[in-house]
Formats: sequence, C-alpha cells, structure tokens
Amino acid sequence: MSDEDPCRLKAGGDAPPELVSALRALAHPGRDAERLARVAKTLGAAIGDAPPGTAVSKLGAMKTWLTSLVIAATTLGLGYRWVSTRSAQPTAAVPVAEVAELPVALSVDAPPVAIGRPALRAVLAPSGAKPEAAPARRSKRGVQPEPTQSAIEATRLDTPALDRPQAQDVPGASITTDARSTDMTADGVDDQSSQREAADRRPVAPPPPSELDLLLQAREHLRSQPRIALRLLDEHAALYPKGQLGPEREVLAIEVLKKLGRSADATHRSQRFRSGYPDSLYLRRLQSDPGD
Amino acid sequence: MTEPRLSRDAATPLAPQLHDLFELYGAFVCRSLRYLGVREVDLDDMLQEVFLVVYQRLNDYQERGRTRAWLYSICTRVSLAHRRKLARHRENLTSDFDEAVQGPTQLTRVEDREALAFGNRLLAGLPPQQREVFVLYEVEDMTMAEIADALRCPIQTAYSRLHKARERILAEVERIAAEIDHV
Repeated sequence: MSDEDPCRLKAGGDAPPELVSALRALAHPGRDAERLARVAKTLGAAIGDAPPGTAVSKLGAMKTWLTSLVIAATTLGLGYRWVSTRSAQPTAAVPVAEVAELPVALSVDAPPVAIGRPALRAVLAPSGAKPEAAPARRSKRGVQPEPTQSAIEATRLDTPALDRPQAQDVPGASITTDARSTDMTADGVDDQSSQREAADRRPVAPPPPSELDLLLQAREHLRSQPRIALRLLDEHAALYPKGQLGPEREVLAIEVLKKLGRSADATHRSQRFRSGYPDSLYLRRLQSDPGD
Repeated sequence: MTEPRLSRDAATPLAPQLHDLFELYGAFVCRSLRYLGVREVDLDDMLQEVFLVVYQRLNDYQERGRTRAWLYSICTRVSLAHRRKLARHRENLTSDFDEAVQGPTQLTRVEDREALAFGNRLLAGLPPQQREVFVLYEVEDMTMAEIADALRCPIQTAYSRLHKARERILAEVERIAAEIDHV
C-alpha cells in the first residue's frame, strides 16, 4: 500500500465488525478452490493423458522436440545407419540421460516447455496424490527401451507421464520388457506386478499429445523455429479438427506464416479465421496487427 | 504477494510462467470475473479464456510489478466480450451483480457464509464503477495506483469512487443495523 492510500476497512479501526467480517469472507481463499482445480485440469494439464498427481515432464516435451532432429537425421540418411546399428542389439537399453543429452548437444534453440510443475500438479491432484520428487522419477526411468523405428514414431506423437513405464508406449519394446520382467521376478514381485507386466507386453498405441501441449510447444518454437511451430500446428489441426483451442491454433498459425514471410497464406488464413470465428476475442488483435 | 518472474525473452518457456500466474492469481481472476458480472455457470469458461489470453499476450507483457492490474484489465475485456456475445445471441443476459454472486460457495462455516452473503448484499447496492474500485481496494488489497492502472482512469477518479463507495457501504450497514434494532 502506498503512503497516500487510506486505511483499509478490513484493518478494523472505525469500521463496523460485521463489515470487516464480510470483507474478509469476500476474499476467502478457499472459496473457489474446486473451480480452480477444475480449470487447472483443463488449462494446465498438458494434461490429457496424465493421471492426477503425475505430469508431463520436461523430458516428455523434450522428446517431441527431439523428434524433429531425429526425423531430419533420418531424411539425411543418418537415420538408416543409426536404426540398423541399434537393431543389432535388440536388448540393449539406452540410459535416459543419453536420450536427454542428444537434443542438448545439438541444441540451437530454446529449452523445451516445462509442463506440470509441482505447484500446478498440487492443484491438479485434489485427491491428495502427491507429485513425486524429480530425482525419484528420474531413477524410475533409469532404463529406457530400445529406440526402434516404432519408438521414433512414438516419440513424435507421445508426451508420456514420467511414472509410466516407457515400454508400455512402444510396441517394439517387448523384448526389453521381458528382460525387466525376469529381473523383477527375481526380486520377488507379487502377482499384481506380474499381471501389469503381462499388460505391458501387449502393444499399446501411444496416446496423442494434448491440444494444449501441442500449442504450447508451437508457441515455444514460434520465434526461433517457425517451421517446426507450423508443423506442430498442422499436427494439432489433424488431431483436433474441432478442438477447443482451434481459435488459438489459427492465431498462432497466422503469426507463424507471417514470420515465414508467407504473407498471402497468412492473409488467407486470417480471412478464414474472421469468417469462422466472428465473435473471437482475437479479432481485435488481428486487426491491430499492422502486418495483417 | 510475490510477483512471478515474467519474461519477454523468447528463450524463456511460457508454460511455467502461465502456471505461476494461475497459481498465484487464479482466485483473484475468478473473483474479479464474478464481480464483473460473469454468471457462475459461465465462470469456468471465462476463467479459462482469461488465462488463454494471458498465454497469448505473455510475450507482450511489459508492465512489471503491475500483474494484477494487467490481469484485471484482461478480465474486464473478456467479461465485456462475453456479455456482448450473450446479448447478440439473445440469451438471458444477467448483467445484475446479484445473480452473478448467487452460486454455491465452498465456505463451510455458517458464519463465513452469512458474512459472504452480507458482503454480496452490500456490494450489490453499489454502482458498478464504485463497486469495482471498492472490491479491488478493500477485498483484493490492491493499491490505488494499481487500481487506477487497471481501470485506465486517473488516480483521483479512483479515490473519488472509493470515497463514495465507502460512504454508501457504511450508510447501508448503519441502515441494516437500525432495521435489526427496530425489529
């Protein structure tokens, strides 16, 4: 409060006590707790497939970013050699640190989006499930399944929760799962774990990234790598043609097209946006943009 | 309240900043929308809308140290656009503050609920402009400089509205007390 501001009624003084109580009740922090948790799920969840208490990790977002590099490498012919070298060692496991370091080593861009920070995860887990500390989660993923071609594909689409075994996402990873199952039996794992392992052996299609996740990542690449941003937006359009964040995608796409110098495409898309979303709050922004 | 680190640097990820803002100011935004006349039934959508706008504008944000003022101005525009949309679609427009604050609360103590109902009744008797300043100052603890910034009005105007709002509120409390005494 600045020195010139009058004394607040809540502070007491001459204000009637019932008025003081009313003002305190109006500002009660627990008043909208449930609503905030609800909206946090919709907003923050990057969420889509992550159960309460878990979150998409930096690594998960990094994997998607890594995809661009892997695809580019494959196009140049490096990918073929890499995959065939790895195929000769089907049971070899790649430490997660190795996977994580690859994009860092080649990085020319900003760090990936961090989603599901502890504070928001606390909001996202009203049932009392506590988010685990980062070191513990890392240790759970100390062993990574073989990045076969199908894994590369999974990496392109998947943004898994950290706590989920990676083999579950990758159809081609059953050999690695078997090896781990043997280890776990030796450790005296109970029947429930065995059933879970059996379920892990079944190929499971990787869940698609959530709407918000795609847009957040596109936004991250907007300035430095607009082509990647545009590809992410195209992926959003393909996965969620009638998604809730369609207007946000279109506005971002218009920005990306301008950034790429494709002004005709940007204008066309902008016109389509105006006709498709006549009530959108973003119209003013598009109108005020001198580049539009 | 500690201001979150808001950066315009393209290398700084936006998502953590958005999460920080939601955690720190989600409740503030929620209350502001309600006092701006957004109905309980629309509050979830509008709350989400505000933070999506925040996400879009985060890179353009320059007014450091005035986060609440910035958020409130977004709330104002979002609620105004929402009201216009309702009016265009000829839906039952609930401009009345009364109805907007009638939703269920999560306050468990009877005294708190009664106090809340009493507070809402007092606020309902204020003209919108005075109510805005009164709520931001007395409920949200914003400074007058922040309020003037949020409302895009001269600070003296904000002082004047607060003064008038207080007079009305205190008169209403006295009137209600007199009624109770009379009964």
